[in-house]
Amino acid sequence: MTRSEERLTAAFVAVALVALFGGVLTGLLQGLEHGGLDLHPYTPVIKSYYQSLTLHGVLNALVFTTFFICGFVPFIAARALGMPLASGALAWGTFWLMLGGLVLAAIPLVGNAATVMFTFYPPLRAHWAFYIGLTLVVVGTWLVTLNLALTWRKWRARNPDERTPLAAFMSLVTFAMWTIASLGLAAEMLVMLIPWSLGLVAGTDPLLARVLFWFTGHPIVYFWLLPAYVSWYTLAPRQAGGKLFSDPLARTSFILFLVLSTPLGFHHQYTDPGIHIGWKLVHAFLTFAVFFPSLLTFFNVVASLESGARARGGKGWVAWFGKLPWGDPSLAAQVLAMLLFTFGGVGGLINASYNLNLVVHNTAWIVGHLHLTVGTAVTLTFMGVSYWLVPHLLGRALWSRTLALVQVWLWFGGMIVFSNTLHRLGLMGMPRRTMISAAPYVQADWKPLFPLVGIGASILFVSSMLFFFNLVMTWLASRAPAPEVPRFAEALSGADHAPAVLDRWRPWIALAVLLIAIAYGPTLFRLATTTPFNTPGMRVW
Amino acid sequence: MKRGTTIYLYELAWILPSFAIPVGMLVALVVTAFGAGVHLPGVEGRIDPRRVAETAPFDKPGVVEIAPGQYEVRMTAQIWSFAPNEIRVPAGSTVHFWATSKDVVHGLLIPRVNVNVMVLPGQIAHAQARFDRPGEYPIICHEYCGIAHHTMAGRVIVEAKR
Repeated sequence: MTRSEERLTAAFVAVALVALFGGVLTGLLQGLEHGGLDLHPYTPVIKSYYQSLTLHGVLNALVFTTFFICGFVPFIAARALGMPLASGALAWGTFWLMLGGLVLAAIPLVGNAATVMFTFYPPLRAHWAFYIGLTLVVVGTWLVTLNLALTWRKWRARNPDERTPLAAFMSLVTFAMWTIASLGLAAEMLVMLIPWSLGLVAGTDPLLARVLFWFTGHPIVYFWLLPAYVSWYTLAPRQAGGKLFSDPLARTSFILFLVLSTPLGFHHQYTDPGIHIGWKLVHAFLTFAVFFPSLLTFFNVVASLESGARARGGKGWVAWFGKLPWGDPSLAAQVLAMLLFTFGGVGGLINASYNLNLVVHNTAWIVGHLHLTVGTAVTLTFMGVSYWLVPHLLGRALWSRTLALVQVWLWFGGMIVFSNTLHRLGLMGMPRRTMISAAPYVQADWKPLFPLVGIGASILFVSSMLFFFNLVMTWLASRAPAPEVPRFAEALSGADHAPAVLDRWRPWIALAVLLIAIAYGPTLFRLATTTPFNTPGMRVW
Repeated sequence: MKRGTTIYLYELAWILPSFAIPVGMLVALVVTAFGAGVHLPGVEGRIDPRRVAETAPFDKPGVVEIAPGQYEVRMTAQIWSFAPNEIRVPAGSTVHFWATSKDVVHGLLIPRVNVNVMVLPGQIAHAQARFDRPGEYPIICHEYCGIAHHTMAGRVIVEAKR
């Protein structure tokens, strides 16, 4: 690791954390609004609940995640390969391109000219700078993929007969999967939204835009999740005092994520008119198929943690769980993230169920689900990673471990209150993305639950403030040197047990592209050849 | 995976059920979806979103009894209202909703009877439900459609049979 690379990681992580700060501030406002206390009229910049909600989604789900991942994953890959990134200049160029894109998109967002949510469904028409800015961020992620691929090729040339180290393998799969998946979003931006927002074409089409958006919109959750898995598989077992249970099984599940993550986006569009129900059913099948590598991950990670707990004297079928090193905030954060993710995964199956989706689609249930997955499995894991990564980058020990432990438990508890309440409200029919305190149709059975949304959001806000406070104090007040970066876990069943074909790229990428062509080809072809692009855009906020 | 080791056996003991569980759930899904006659919106045809007001049947939004106990609602969604926004049917009716949008993306949600469909400009959307229990059911727009999205609503009033 060169000093410049550490600074690069620090730069990405710093932008990510600033975005998260903005995201949780606006999140508190929305939580309180549902709780009956609408503070939006008293805020200086934010014009409406909906602008606040757009900022919350864009900053948390798009900016925080992407920038953290582009800092953390190359850091891990370079360490695992034992060599610096192939091009430092490319890496820094990527950072500045992505930051430039972010600033460009932020101007209309803050100025209330892009209050279109993070899904930006046309014909809601945002300022062109919003679309171009986000596109530059996506292009930046492709350059990260390029840099990782070049680095791996250099490593391969020097180590022709070795297995790619697991952490590097997972990093490469994450970015390869994302690069394929992001083509839908890129097409939506370049072919439809950017020319239309610039006034070069008069009309657009909401359905085709939604199909292209969800081509990327579902796999983007794996782009958020797989870096958390990298930590769960390659670092957490050792942080728990144990070993990774099975390296081959880990590689298998990642290859399955590479192949299966993209061809299933219609499960976000079950209720859309204009898509044949037969293709919706195919995407339902494929969504259930991707549950398989998720179950493999569940088993492998839990078995790895168990090996650590047993090495520390843990006994019994379940009692070993208490013997995990719960005093380590980094590990505690990740284990609690996994626990809540179990419920997120089960909820995801309900969403993906062709018929049950009718009960929950676009209700508060989905908000509850998203906060268990990206809002906890990913965010709480990234917080746990930050508890060693930020001290390492600053060269100072974490200011307070106790405060960090309080923080992660508060997130866990606050999220149980918040997410459970939203799930229940969704089942009762409360819509998502709605300024509910001003809605005329509030039902009697929703009302007793509203305060719990506000309370849950407030606990989460306090937790996040403790997180930021601890990191700032680490920067300003900590004097002790930073402890060593967690080392990669050894495996009980190592890489030499894995079939060699798992180390090849072309067959898996070809299979991924083939499945996408089958699952999306006919619908995309039909829409591309028959869509009239006659829907005018409008600004209605 | 190396054959013959304990780890290999543990892996296998997990992999097989991990495969069987999603397959079993899929079978349950298909049986319940098609056995219970759950309909998802499919391809119902396009409409020029700029000419909704001149295109039948959306030129005359309203409720039509197409057969005894069978009603058809021809509905337009626009910022920030449904037309019609009040629908009266007797208990036990089956109601077919045909909807499209005149402007941005809207949604049509009627909780408890599982009407849940996106209303997109350019597309005709269809959903159906049976209203057995008398009472008032809210019609809710469940897709963000601008600054007054939360005010976009209507109601179905199901009247007890005389």
